[in-house]
This record gives sequence, C-alpha cells and structure tokens, in this order.
Amino acid sequence: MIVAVAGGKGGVGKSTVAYNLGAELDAVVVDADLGMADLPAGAGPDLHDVLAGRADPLEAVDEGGAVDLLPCGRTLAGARAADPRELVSAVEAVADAYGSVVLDCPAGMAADVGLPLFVADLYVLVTTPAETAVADALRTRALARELDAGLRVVALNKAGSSVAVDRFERVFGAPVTAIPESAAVARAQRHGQPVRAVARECEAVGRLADLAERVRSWRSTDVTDGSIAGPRAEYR
Amino acid sequence: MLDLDYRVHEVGDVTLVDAVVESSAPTPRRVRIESTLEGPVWPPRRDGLPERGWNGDAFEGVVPADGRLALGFASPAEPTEPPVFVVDQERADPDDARATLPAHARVGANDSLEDADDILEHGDGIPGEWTGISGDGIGVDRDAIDVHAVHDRTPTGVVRALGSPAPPPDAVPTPEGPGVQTTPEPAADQTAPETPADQPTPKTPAEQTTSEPRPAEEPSVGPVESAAPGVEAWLSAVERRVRRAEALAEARRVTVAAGALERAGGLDGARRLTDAVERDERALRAVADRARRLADRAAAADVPLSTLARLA
Repeated sequence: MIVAVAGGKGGVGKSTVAYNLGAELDAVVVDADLGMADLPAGAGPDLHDVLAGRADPLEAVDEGGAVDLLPCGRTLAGARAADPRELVSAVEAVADAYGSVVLDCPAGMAADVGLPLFVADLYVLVTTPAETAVADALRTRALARELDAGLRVVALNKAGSSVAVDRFERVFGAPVTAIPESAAVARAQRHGQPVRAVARECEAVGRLADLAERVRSWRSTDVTDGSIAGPRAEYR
Repeated sequence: MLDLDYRVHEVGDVTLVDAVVESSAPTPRRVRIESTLEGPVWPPRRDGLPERGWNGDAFEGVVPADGRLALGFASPAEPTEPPVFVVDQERADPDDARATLPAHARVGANDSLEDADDILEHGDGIPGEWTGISGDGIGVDRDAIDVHAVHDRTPTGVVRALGSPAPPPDAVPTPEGPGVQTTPEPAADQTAPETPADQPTPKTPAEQTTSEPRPAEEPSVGPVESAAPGVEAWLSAVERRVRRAEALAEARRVTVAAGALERAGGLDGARRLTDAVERDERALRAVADRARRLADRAAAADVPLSTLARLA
C-alpha cells in the first residue's frame, strides 16, 4: 500500500501527519519533497542519491529512528541532479520490500506533487480549517483525480474544538478526521519522534490512530474488489 | 407535456439514479426536480463542486422545446419508486441566461452517471459526495481550479504534463565553482576514502594540494545572496572553514596532510578550525530551525484580503 499525504498549502502539517501515520502503520515514510526536505535526515544515502542512480532505494531506508525513513537530500544541487521520474520505481521497490509506504508530498498543486500522487494507491488530504488552505486542498484533490489517486480521508489539522467536521465532510465529500492543535505534536516532531511516543494521553494521538485506521481499512474496500467492479462493468 | 423517465441502480451500498425529462411543449420549460430517496443526494461534482443546476437536494434546469433534460446523482439511501419527481415547472424565459445549461446537463444522463462511477472508481472514502458547499461559507471559485490533463499515464507523461519538480538551474548555488555536480576521477594511486554517497563530491586531496584558482574566493551565486548580502558573506565564510576542515579530514597521505595542515595554520590552527566549525554547525542548525519555523508561519499567515476589502 502506497499512501500519499498531500495538501496544496505549505505549513498545514503534512510532514507531521505523514510521520505519525508512518508510525501508526509501521510504514516507511518517504520524504518526497525534492526541493525542500522536511523530515530529519541521517548520514546515509538519501532520495537524491536514489533518484540519481547512486544508491538502491532499499539501502537508503534509515531504520535507525523511531520510524523507518527514506530521507530526501537537502541540497538544491542534489535535487537538480536527481531524475524525479525514478521516484515511481523507487517507491514501488520500497513498498514491495516493506509492505507500506507513506509519501510525504511537497506543497504545491502541479509538478511537485504530481509524481507522488501518481504512484500512490490512495492519499490523505491535509488541510487546516482556513479558507485558503481548503481552497488549495480542493485543487490538490482535483489533480489527484486526474492521476487516479483515491482520497481516503481528510486530516483537518490544527482544528479547534468547535470545528464543524460535517461541514468539511460535505465540502470534500470524504470522511474528515480533526486533529487538534497540540504542543505535544510540535514537540514530538522537533525531536524526530511520533507524538504517541512522547504524549500518549494527548488527544491528537487518538485522532492520528483513527486516521491510520481509516487508511489501514482501505484494503478491504479496494475498488478493484469484484463486488464493485462487477456491477459497474455490467452497467456500462 | 412533460414525461419523466428514470433508472435506478444499486452499486455496493450506493444507489445511482438517472432521469430524463422529455418535453413535447413548443416552448422551453424550466423544471425543478427533487429526490424521493430518504437520504442525502450526492450530485456529480467537478473539482469538488456540484455541477451546475444542483442546489441542495434539488436540480433545476430547462427542458428545451421538444427536447430532453437528463440528470443523475448518487445516494447512500435505499432505492425508492419513483426515485425523483418534478416538483415545479414553468415556462422558461428565453432571455434568462440560466436557460442555457452546459452540454453535459442537457444530454448528460451518461455524463452524470459516469461522474458517479468516477467517484466510486477513485475510491473516495465515502463513495459519492455531498452537496451544500454554497451554504457552508467556504467559497471556492470553481473557475480557479484548473487541472492539467495527464494523458500519458507514465512517470514521463506526468512530468511532461505537470513539469519537473526539480529546482531550476539558476536556483542552485555554485559555491564550488563549475563542476559541483561532476565527479572528479581520483588519481590512480589515490586510495580515496569512502565518502557517503549523499555528499557533494569533495575535491580529492591531490586536487586540494595542487593549487588551482581558489574556489573559496569565488562569489557564491544563490537565492540567499539577493536576500541579504550579510547572510551570504557569513555563509561563504562558513563554507571556507568547512572546506578547510574537510580537506584536513580527507588528508590521509603525509604530504597531503602536511600541505593541508600548513594552510590551516599548523596544529593550533587546526584546533581553532575545529572549534570554529563546531560553532558554525550549532549556528547553522539554529538558523535553519528558525528559518523553517518562520517559513511555516509565513505559509500559515492567511491575510483575509476579501474580508478586509469589505471592511475597508
């Protein structure tokens, strides 16, 4: 299963959601932001090396941290030397070996997020309740459709306690999981830890687990399942 | 005058309804059609917004004279008989701009249901979508959503349609001078130490000793420079120190080490360099953290321009 974590606007918490989702799903988190990496990087080979053919995708997976991570490079020169198209086969190779991959997508509505969404089976759309963030998320969603990535769940990040989840479900036409703003989440991310490792009782931990459960249950309702494909084929 | 025909399909837990209103009237008729299903109506959407003609659970459109109007929607509710009915009709004003519906609404039985299929096919969490965006205070300009079509479903096709995510060449700083991305061949007798593959390839010690144009003195070209000359000067200085430290770290042969050590100012100089590079590292990481936090805040700071404009 390859899950992209996307959202048009920067600063809405994509990397935080991706990292914690990776922890919940026991997946490899791939930092697919070629231009500006968000997740901590170790000393080993990174995604730039993989995309430039200098390293095998599997040897670039860093298993030393709390979450398995395939970090992106941090230099613009490295990004320039990489062939972004190689992302597709690299991510597929990691998914074959590890089972699940969570792709931390860059912000943006076109080139940056195109290949991660293309290779993903499904995606989690991250937005805050702010109107500009929602508008950008809807654009990302339109692009994801073009690329055949299915929207599984919307992570409504930094949501206040009074946020009307049903209203956002109507806007996105998908289930919404609200994740409250939390100091523990930010602290955990700074220390390269999933939030459940630093504050188990925090409300955000439960919500992130809910989010992961919705993603995890994707397999059972896979759209290639015959029960849905059959009647539709017949109807056509 | 008006004839209503419909079909109902169940696909999984979803009911799909399509309907055709046929008119034998000599003039266009405006009709309002509502669902009888006991559940929400999921109209076809494009870019997250209901197709034209849908308002809440009702569809409103114009049947041309002696023509047909088709519509479709999905719902999680059980099928009913009939699934839709015409609640209202009137003679359409031919000058009414709304009388002109987009093509897919005029002949759209297939379009509409394909959209419903589309929603299922794309595996959206809820197999279908709800209406009501207009009443929710989240205004999104439908026309502003412009998605590039991706016809070629290959990685190359995606890049061709959407562009490459790699940064443009002129965004790449060239502190090492020309050749930052090229790999210098180590000299034959050189047992080059293993360098991590992710490091920009440093010059080999041999090249460091054979004096060449001092790359450190070359001005760096990068996005930082234009933003703040002071920052650029500081980064260049750090770069020089790091390069000297790298040269020392790589110097394995005595003669090479001696040359590097001499340039570093002897053992004392090397110690001072080590301390300085450590301080540099702490400062760089602190700046990086602060820059990242600022960038996040900059991205999150939503100035409600339209609201301000109304208030002004």
